[in-house]
Amino acid sequence: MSDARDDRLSRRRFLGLMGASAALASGCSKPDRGSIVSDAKRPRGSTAGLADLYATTFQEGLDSHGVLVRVREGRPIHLQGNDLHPLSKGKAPMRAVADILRLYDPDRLRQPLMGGRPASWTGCNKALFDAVAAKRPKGKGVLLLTGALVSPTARQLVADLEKAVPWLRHAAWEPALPDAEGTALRSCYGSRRRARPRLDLARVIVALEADLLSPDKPSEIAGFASSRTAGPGMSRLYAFESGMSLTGAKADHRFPWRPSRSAPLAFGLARALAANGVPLPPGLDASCLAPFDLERLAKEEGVDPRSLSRLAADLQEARGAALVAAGPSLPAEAHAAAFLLNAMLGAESRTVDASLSPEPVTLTDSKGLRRVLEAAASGEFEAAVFWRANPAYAFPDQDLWRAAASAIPTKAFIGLHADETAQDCGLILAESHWLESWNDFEPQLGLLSLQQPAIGPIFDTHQGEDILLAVLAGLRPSLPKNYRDYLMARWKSEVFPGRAEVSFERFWNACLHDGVFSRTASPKPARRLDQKAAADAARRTSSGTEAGDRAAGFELVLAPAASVHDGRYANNGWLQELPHPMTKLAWGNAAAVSPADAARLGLADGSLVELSAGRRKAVVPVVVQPGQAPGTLSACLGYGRRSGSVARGVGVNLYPLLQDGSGIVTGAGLRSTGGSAALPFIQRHHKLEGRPVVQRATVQGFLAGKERIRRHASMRLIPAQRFPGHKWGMAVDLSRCVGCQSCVVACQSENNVPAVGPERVLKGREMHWIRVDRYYEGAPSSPAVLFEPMFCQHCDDAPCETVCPVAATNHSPEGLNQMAYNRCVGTRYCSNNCPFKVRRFNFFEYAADVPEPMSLAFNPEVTVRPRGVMEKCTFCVQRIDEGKAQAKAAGRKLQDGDIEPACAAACPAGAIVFGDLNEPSSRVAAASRDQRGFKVLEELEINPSVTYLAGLTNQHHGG
Amino acid sequence: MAAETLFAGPSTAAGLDDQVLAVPESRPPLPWWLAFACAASLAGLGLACMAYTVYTGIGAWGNNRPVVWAFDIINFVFWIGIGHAGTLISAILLMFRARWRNAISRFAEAMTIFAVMVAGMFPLIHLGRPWVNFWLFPYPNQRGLWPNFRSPLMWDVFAVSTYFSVSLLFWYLGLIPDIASMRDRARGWRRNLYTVLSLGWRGAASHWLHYEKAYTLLAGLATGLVLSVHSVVSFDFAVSLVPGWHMTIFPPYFVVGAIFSGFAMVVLGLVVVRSTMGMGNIVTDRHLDLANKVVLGTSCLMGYSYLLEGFTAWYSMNPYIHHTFGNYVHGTYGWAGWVAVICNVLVPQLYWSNRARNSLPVMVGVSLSALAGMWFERFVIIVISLHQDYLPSSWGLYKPTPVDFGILLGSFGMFFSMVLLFARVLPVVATTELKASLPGSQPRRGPPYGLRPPPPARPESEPGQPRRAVRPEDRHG
Repeated sequence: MSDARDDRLSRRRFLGLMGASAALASGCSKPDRGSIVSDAKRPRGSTAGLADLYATTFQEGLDSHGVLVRVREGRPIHLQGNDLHPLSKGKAPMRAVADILRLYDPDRLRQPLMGGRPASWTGCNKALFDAVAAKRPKGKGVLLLTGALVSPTARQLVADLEKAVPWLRHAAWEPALPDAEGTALRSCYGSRRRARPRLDLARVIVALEADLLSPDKPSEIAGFASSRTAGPGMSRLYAFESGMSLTGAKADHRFPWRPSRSAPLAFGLARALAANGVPLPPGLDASCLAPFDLERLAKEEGVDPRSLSRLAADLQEARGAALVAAGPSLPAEAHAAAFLLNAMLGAESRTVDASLSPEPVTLTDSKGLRRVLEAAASGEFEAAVFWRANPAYAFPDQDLWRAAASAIPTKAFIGLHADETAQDCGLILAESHWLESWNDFEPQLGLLSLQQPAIGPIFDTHQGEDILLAVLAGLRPSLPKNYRDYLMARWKSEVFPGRAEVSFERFWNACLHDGVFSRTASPKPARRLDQKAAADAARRTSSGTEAGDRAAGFELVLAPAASVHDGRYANNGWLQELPHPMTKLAWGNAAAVSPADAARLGLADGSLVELSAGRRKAVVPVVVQPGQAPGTLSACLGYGRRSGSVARGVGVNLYPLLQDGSGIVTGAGLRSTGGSAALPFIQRHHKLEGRPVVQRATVQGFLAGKERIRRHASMRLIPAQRFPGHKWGMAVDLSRCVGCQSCVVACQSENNVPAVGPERVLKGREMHWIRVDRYYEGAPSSPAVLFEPMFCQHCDDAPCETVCPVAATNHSPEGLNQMAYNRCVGTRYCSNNCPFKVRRFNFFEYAADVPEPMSLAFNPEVTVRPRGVMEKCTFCVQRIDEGKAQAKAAGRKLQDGDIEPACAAACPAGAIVFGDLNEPSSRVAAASRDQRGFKVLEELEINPSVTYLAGLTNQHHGG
Repeated sequence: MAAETLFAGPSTAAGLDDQVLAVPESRPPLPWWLAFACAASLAGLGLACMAYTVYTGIGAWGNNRPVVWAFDIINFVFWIGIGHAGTLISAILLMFRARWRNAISRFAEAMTIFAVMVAGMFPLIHLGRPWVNFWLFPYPNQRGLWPNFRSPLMWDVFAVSTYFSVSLLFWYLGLIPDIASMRDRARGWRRNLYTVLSLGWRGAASHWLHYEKAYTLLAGLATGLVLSVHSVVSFDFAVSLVPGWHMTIFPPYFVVGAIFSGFAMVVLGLVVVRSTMGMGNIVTDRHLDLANKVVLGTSCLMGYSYLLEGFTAWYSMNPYIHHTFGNYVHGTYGWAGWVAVICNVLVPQLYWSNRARNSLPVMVGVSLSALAGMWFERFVIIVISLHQDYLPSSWGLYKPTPVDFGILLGSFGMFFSMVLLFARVLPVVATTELKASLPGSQPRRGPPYGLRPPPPARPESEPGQPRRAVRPEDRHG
């Protein structure tokens, strides 16, 4: 890390120009084509062999995250969180880290195409201008369909365009983002402004079908993890959900619960609280809550009624520090019920904070898009522009889409890949990746974060905003020529405080350096729940539940996948190979069925079933999911793409089953086809078999000393190994770990770990250096879930080392178990003798499968392993060396935290701590002395360097 | 009773030569060609599969994680085991003066050589990078690198290469007088070949003196190796910490299994040699009966080992070992465990019956069963132990690929190709040793060998010397 972030003050004032603009002007703007050409002159501000860090912003859906891009010799190789970003706090979401691969995706559009042939940008821009803006086409309109536009400047640009082109109709559509919460917000609070849940402040959390801990929410995970420390203040999480999510897995009390019963449950809790004397919001008619009886609900869902009354009591006790969250797939009534509960529990402005939420983004939901496409099908639009929107894949009603597409004569497409929608378009405008683009975001009122290119466009691409700006510039020649200038102009007029002592240029460079700019914003006044809307929601719920009872069939919950999301990352091999966090299924999706339903219908893992929603059907494999609520099915969206060399044909497209506007399909049919498919699971055995390899305790029992963590008393006869200098070690806090697998992706990016493909995963040849083991304990209907990140334990007496005939794996004087790849002959004996099975063998020449220019994503500090050699976690030895060298160059002693392996840096929960065990004050040394500490398979006397801290749960035991 | 007869062959050295040495001197019959074509085709298939593996990578096999060793090491251990009977017969039985070995020792030794050659191939091709296999040998190099002598694989390198060298020397040394006999009978290119191979043997008394010394010395060396080589192979497993491998019983258990399977292979080969080469008078029913008794005895020891393995697993109170042993019996691959028990322990119990021990179909069946059973025993030890070890998260299944089967079949093809070539090029019976047992060859009273009454005295026949062993022109060298 040579970047001037190390001396932030001066960088903020002066060196910003050097770091950002100079690198852009020289180093970054020339794409690395893989050939080695010596720099006659060293580019200013960069040192060959040292990485530069650039702050930028990753956006997905409605959220944006501050990230740092690690750039080596002009090419981005790794992403991590921006530590100066007050929301990201140094943690990047998993998919942002993986998205570096999409930058180098060989399937990307490499130049604009017109009628299928390569064309010049001048010609294409003119063609787009003629189609969209030149003149009103025959009294018809022009459609601009985009993904969510979150950037204030991009929204300004589109607004400007709409103003200049009055016949333009803009719709922003996110296929996997149901709008129920927005609807509920508008009716209950009068504004769609979303509130931020504060898991760090909450003591009792109730998640209704809500995956609060999904890996795209690093700040939520961090907040939750911070509340899981052993002590009386530890938070307690209740989860009511159909499918098993990470939130359910970490819950202290998890109830398999049909999503249709979420709203009744929330209203029932409100009634129980009111009955216990918690005041209802003024003006709310208590009679509307009368139909919601917790006892009856509990009976319906097969849950002990006392547990629900305990929950009500627990919530009441934690007033002011309680939080109820409803999941995005739930209907608006459930959200309204959650708002009501939060209002009663005094969560507003405490654990639910809307005061700093930015202006809401307008989205067109699927119902709205249906109306737009119906208009298109009736010939209302002469031209259409699709930008980051893929209706040909994700719009549920493909018949309507095809009718609409054929009724629009001129179609233009702006995007990264020639996806399903691009196939229908005559004009294809190749878009730049976000790491090649400029933009700004406002994740919180007054907090602005900038997106800057970390590399010049690798291909002949323009960023989408530039393309639209070119259209707008055709009408308004006075506009800046490119989007960067447009952005700067807007910042100069709207963001720059205009203080005399700094020029705008310095201000701008400082903002680029930090990636964020905070200005004081006046928080919005606290919002007030509209009691009438809440009462209406309750009435609708009570009548709707009765109607729902009559509908037969399953409740099918469709949600975007944790890895490939709504399908936009489906061409990313890392994310495809990243297993589903619960089922551990990689490379595809499957319908999760409860063990009871599976037994009833004779289904097993891999059985093919036909799911049906109305007329639409899809054949998917089944996984039997312990803890799945009977009568429900869960499945991931984002698979079954028809384009992309990696994505094509992986999994099944379930968008057609989506009913407009909701992620939940009621009355879904399931019919066994009798066939079956082999599923590529990354973990193939799911039970712990009574082995004490993961330990846990209840916080009460642990604090009272009643529950002890099992340790093994050493009986060794030979003296322990000694490491006089540094002794690297790690500690993993299983209380904090939520099983999100961000570490897996970060490790893959940092260490050039290949993705091997579904056939090889099926054979058990995946290469991940770190994996998150997930075990179920207890009854399959409602099991406890234990996560355990597993990677090389760097044993002091490593069994792998003694058996290697050529000493290719050996021990460093600093306690690392190291691999000399070019000495390895590939006997694989070390893998046999590794009780943790963390060693990975290169069964094939995987590097040969990496197409150009994807090899540019390789970390030059890490050897790309040839076939026939063994590999495994190194504790990121390259980072250790870098940290030591930097400390030495700076003439200071190495400090705790100077060195952070990729997994630890990426862990949003802060569960992984790395450091020097010989330094008594280091965090890792403290953790390894912790009462909760244990080592896996300690009885083998191999002395792992990794200490695991037993997971604590905080069950409610009161009567 | 025929089974009591140890030797029914020609009563003179010349007759013995005429019967045994005539085989390599004649053109092979059609059945030999057919058999050789089959074996060579299989060998070709195996070589093609190996070439494919070297070209693409170990991924061509079914090996995965956690089962990183599978057919490769199963085949290695299996063939090393087959290679045990030869040395046992040559060396240990020689030391114990079990003279019945003489008729079958040559053939058994040849099988040893070929089996070890086939076995030795597997550690080389199973490497991820077979082109650097020489790194396993401690040779001085400019990189200053040295192998890791703590690794059992290193011990393997020495055990197997030592065993192979000693077996080869032992076999070749025994062959020299016989080759000299062949040289003396041969004409044309064969004569030149045998001249070279016989290393100038003239049958001089000094030759015999040195020969006997060297032979006994090598026998002494080989005796230790019979026990050591498979013990060391078993260390590959016993020294590791894999549940199911980490057991002290492994060395004797492996040695016994090796002798068991080796004898089964020898019996199988002898039955074929006897019937196709007309050697029933030299390799008599009695030989087969004795070899079958060894099979029976080692089979019982195998049964004992299996029981002891179960007892050790139970007595260890180690849940991981309990689990692995449970898998041997009723896991996904539990059937393989039962195949091993039935083939190795139950089927050979037929040999308690005299009739079964002397029935050719039964002994062919039992020998095949023992070979299959021993292959599956290694499958049990390797695949079942590996597929579920310590962390349940890493458990997995193993499924071989066609390439795995191709290499397995190819190993049999290579072995039998070499056996068939040997049978047509070199004497399959150690005539020298048999001649030493011919009536009148030893200054002893009574019939020294077999129950055949002594023939009329023929004082002019020089004891133990081939009729035309030395020719005047040979003396000039």
